[in-house]
Amino acid sequence: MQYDIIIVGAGMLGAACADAFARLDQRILVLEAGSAAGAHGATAAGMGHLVVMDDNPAELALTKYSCQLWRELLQDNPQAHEYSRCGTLWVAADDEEMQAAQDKQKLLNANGINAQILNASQLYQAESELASGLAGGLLVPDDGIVYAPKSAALLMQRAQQSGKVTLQFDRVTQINGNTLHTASGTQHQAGMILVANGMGAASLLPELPLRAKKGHIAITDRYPGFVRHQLVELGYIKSAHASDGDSVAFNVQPRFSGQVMIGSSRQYDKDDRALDWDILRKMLARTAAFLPRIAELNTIRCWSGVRCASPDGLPLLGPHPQRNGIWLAVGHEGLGITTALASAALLADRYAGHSSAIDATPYLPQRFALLAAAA
Amino acid sequence: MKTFTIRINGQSYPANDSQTVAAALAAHSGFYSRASVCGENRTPVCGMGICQECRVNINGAPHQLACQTLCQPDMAISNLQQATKFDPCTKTASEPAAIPVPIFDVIVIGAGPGGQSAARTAAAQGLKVALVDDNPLPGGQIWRAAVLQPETYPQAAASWQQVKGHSNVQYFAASKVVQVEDGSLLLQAASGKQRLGYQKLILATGARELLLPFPGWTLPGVTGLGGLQALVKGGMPIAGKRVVLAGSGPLLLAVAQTLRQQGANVLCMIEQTSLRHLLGFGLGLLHTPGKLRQAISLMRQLFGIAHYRNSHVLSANSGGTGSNPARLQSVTIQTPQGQQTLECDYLACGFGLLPNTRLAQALGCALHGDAVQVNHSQQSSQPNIWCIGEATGIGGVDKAIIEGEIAGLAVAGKDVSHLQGERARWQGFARRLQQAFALKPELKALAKPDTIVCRCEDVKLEQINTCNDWRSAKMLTRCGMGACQGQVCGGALQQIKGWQVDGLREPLGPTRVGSLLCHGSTTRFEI
Repeated sequence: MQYDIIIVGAGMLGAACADAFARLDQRILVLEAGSAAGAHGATAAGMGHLVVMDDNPAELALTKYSCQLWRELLQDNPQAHEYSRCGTLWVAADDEEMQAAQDKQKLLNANGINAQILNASQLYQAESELASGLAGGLLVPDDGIVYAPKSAALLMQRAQQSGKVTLQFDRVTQINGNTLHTASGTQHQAGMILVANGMGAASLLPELPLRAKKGHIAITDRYPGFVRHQLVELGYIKSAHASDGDSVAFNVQPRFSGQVMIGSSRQYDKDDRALDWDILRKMLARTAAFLPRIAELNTIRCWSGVRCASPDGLPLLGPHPQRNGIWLAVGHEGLGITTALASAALLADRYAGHSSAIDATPYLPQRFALLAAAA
Repeated sequence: MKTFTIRINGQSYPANDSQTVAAALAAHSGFYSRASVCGENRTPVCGMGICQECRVNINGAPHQLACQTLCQPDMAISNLQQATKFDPCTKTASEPAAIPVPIFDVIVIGAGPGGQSAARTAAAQGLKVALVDDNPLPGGQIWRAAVLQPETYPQAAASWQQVKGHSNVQYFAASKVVQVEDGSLLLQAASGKQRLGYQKLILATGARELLLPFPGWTLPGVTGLGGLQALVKGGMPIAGKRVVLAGSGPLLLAVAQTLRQQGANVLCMIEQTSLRHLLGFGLGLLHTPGKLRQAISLMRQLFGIAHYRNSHVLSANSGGTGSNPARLQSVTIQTPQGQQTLECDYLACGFGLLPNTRLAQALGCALHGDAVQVNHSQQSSQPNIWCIGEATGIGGVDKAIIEGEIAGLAVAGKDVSHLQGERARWQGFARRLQQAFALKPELKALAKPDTIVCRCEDVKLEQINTCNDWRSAKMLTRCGMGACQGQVCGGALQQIKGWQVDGLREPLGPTRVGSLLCHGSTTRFEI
């Protein structure tokens, strides 16, 4: 069987790409190291939020575009994705953060994104469990949450329905030129190999400037209505973009099931999956500082996952500057679910020679001198 | 025994302090505890804090286990509905993040016969012992609530008297070990949390029932076999009720005896094992004369109750279309002679016992098969952790007691060779038990495609059949993502599909966020 494209990884990125390239009538092989599409890696471990992030114009453009694509996709069967259009409520603890909220609102509105300032009294009306003494917040009502493993599985199913996509469960162990070696001892070749397996790419392509950022999550039993929006502290941004060290930030979600999902933590260069109780406790303590009565809720499960981060916080989307035929869709840090659809669209447009909806230059791998120089 | 009033769904009822909330629900309001994800009424099943079906609201706090909670004066209980909101009247005291950690020479987890034996033996050697159990009363399963009836259970009463007689044993009731770290254990109790430090551990975590899905198994009125016994011992009224018992092994007879003593109308016992295996097991009891006498006495007491062999339950049935809400009305069984349907009020059905090994696994102890691996001194693969009783292999109360004594001496560095003979005798009993009552393959194929397999999340077999392994079933169908943490459906799927059920992580049971976020302060103190 001759394939035009081989995709490494059937998480959200791999599934979105398989779906996008199948629509270009390409013959595609997807190689997944785990046992089912969407059931492994960061896709299975993350919070599945669909959020516009505005820390730099390129991030805003990508997340905005991708959130639009998600809303279109989710019109069909939102329940299957466990989609909740609960919005994001950015919480301001003090006047300084309130100023940041105002700035954020101006920027988002100027970019056509609905965002409303809430004063303190409106904040407590929106979320009665928040700790007293907060200054207010910013509500972005069109943000939402999906259950990423199902979304990835559904995208892969749709891709397979085209008849163009073969999914095999086999770990890729080596990439030599345009030949892939797998754990089952098979070799595959194709004109294009699209690497979309997150931190797994770091061992296949060691020259990539990727770093692991471990995170933890706790999920509670069902307490419907405890929180109604995704809640994030405005200080989250400092945590997400810290260049070193461990950090936690307040970030909870009301899940479709009525459970409360609690994040978030970041630890650089840790890629094991063991629970780190020190940082988990810090994360839970930070959560309780914003939602005091969360201390009374039963946690039924804790787990960890590994994000794949790039040096500038933007993903690597496009051809590898040195390795002919290798394309990349990695390095999405905490925005892999949000930006998967736009990532796939940009890559498919480039492949087909179409112009894309947004400028793809900021995400091209060749921006890293490291890569350009690698042999 | 103190009597007082409690409120259930706003109505006042009498209760007493040795009665569980589950028993009070059964006595007064049709037993129903919660509404499931798809809207079915559920009632307690396992009776021992594992299946999570008995979750109710108590005093404004949702997700409280009715079977593990004793009634208290003025308690307000209500059913856990799907849309139950977190009660805004609940007060939260602010919790210290750092708590002092008392250090014991040895912590014994489990206050059943084995744990009590270990605790009093270790204490007699002069060690400082903590005895921890997640039930409100000591005794584990087989001696459940026995301390309330010392005349009926003299051995259990004497054992507990001995434990209490040692001032160097500190007993922590209603406390579940949920997390382990750096030589300390985090305990979750209804009232709060505790961290205990230790030099050595003795795990006496016992066993739970294997529950397998079959059509109708989620109907109110269907419980586990040991589950019904546990509920009745918790004060659930059973006098005059028609009960069908189904399953396997000596537990079937023991439960029949308990129920008869409480005035139940036990209609029949449905044993999946063949007569040949039963006779073989009976012959084997010659090795353990005490057990043989017990068996003969049991059989005499149960004379008159129909006993089917080579038989099993096919389905639990609710009434015709008029049944609102649905409740157990009858049971259809398969016998060598054909099928029969029996009308009844309760079906207690369990398929054998599984060692409780999650805590041992979290501590890094190796397993041998589905039990914790130990040497002849009951020492596990972790040098400072011993394990005894059912958790090392199902073998009953006598095995647990002798093994507890061995571990209690071993942790004090004492010689245990004089006890090896008796240990070997009960290990032999355990082997004969396993051989005689091995599960027939038919029992693994009872569920139909539309039978719920994961009770916490209401996931049906046909959904699970679309997946190839435990992990993908969990991620894609929600099977195993509920409050029981896959203990019920995981055990079932291991049998039905031969799946490896892995990915054990702490917390070992639902745990309040407030408990998890506290760490041991640097002040550790010897008690």
